[in-house]
Amino acid sequence: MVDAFVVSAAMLPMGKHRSSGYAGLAAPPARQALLDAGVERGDIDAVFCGHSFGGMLTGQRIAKELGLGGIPIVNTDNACSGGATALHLAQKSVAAGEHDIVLVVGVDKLTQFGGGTLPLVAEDPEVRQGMVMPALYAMRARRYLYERKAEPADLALVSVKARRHGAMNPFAQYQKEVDVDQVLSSRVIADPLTLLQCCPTGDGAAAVVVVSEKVFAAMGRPGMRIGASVLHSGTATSGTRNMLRPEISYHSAREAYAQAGITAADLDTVELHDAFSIAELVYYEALGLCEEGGSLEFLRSGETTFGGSVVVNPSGGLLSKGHPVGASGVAQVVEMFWQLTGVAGDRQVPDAKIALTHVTGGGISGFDHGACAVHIFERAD
Amino acid sequence: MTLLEPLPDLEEIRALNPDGTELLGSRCDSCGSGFFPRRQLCFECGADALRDVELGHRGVLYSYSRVELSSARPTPYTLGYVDLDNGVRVLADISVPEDLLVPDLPVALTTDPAGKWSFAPAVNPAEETDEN
Ligand SMILES: [Zn+2]
Repeated sequence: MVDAFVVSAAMLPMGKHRSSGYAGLAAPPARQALLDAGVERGDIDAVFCGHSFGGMLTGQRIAKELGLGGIPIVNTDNACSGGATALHLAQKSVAAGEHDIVLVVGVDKLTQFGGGTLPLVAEDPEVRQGMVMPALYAMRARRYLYERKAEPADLALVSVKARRHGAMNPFAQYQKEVDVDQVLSSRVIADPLTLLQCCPTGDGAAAVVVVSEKVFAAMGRPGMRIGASVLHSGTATSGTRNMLRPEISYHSAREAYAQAGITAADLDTVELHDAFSIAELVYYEALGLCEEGGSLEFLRSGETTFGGSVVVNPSGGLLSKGHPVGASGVAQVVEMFWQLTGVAGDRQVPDAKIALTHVTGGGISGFDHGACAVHIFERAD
Repeated sequence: MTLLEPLPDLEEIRALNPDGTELLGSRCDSCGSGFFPRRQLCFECGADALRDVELGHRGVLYSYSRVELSSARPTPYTLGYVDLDNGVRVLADISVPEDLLVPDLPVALTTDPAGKWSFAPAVNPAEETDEN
């Protein structure tokens, strides 16, 4: 197997880019990633494009803008994991020796829905019953508060940290700090989750270039090696499920650690799927960043912010940076690329060498989540 | 060559018997798994002949949320996961006064005059017996 490397990364500042379509959103970061990598259009072997709501041939519409064609272009839809799924396929194709230089794009435009919760597919019985993503996470939060004897103010601490990080990120949709009172007094979306505990609606696009070891060596520029790339679906069950121990993230993370030959303790920084405040606490445990039952203390101790042992969501995470679903998996990788190559500016994690990204995609009954992708990256010079 | 037929959609979350008293689900005779709502394939063991069963009235509220913003339904409404006594987890409307809502609350199936089903606090079976 050949190692795969990320050699360049670019993204749009996330926000409400109402006047742009999918191609308009994705073309600038895709073009920038190619320029930064020093790759000519004719050198690209394949394009993998992740999105959820882009419609037919989203990747081809983007490629057309760039004058790319005559190569395999594959579109992946895995809800919030769409972008990470595209990276997974790119890594696999390079590792298998099929391609040497691959463009990975993630893009979505949520302003097209005019607000409200993300539309889920009504073929699903729980969706027909009224399930929406905030409700799912709210039930997880309610159970967490009950079992862990925690308070809504504890959940709010996640949003406060996310906003503090996002305030240092010019690419974040929200760049203003908030305090616990502001989080708790914002509008209730699905109790106990308030507006500032839910990721915002927005548009965005991100792109990275993935190359083989041979090409990476010839380029002679800093990048990151993809140490692990894991994609899982949930497992169906009609019975009970512990919502505080999401099995899909738990298993995906452990498989990724085994693939990369590291443990959670080796990680310097993590971008995890904090679509809602409660998610970050639950995923600390699922990813093994702290012991089971220890997430609240772990957050309070400051171990997951700057100066701590593992900086979680230095970008501000989905809560602050924004979450155009199909783009997020790639945007996380862009942030980790900037961190591991030392160009993250005010929010630089000092001497970051090993990073993890984690993104799930939910929205159907019987599964913990529909999809989960975990990647581990190592700085490579 | 087998001439296959598609699985028809079962009726919209058809929860109740005509007399309005029971949640209808499916049971797999091969592995014993129970399902709600009704389905035709068992995703636990792969069997393809499930039979309709009544799932019982009682369960425990695993968690819940009052939803104030939703693209799925007019708001507000309260949803919860109810773990039925037979091990099946059901997403259901919860009609419990807010001050009584708590995880692990024993709940029972109820219907309003319009026939809309939900779960409400369970009456203690012992009390029911006393009333009889
Ligand atoms: Zn079965």
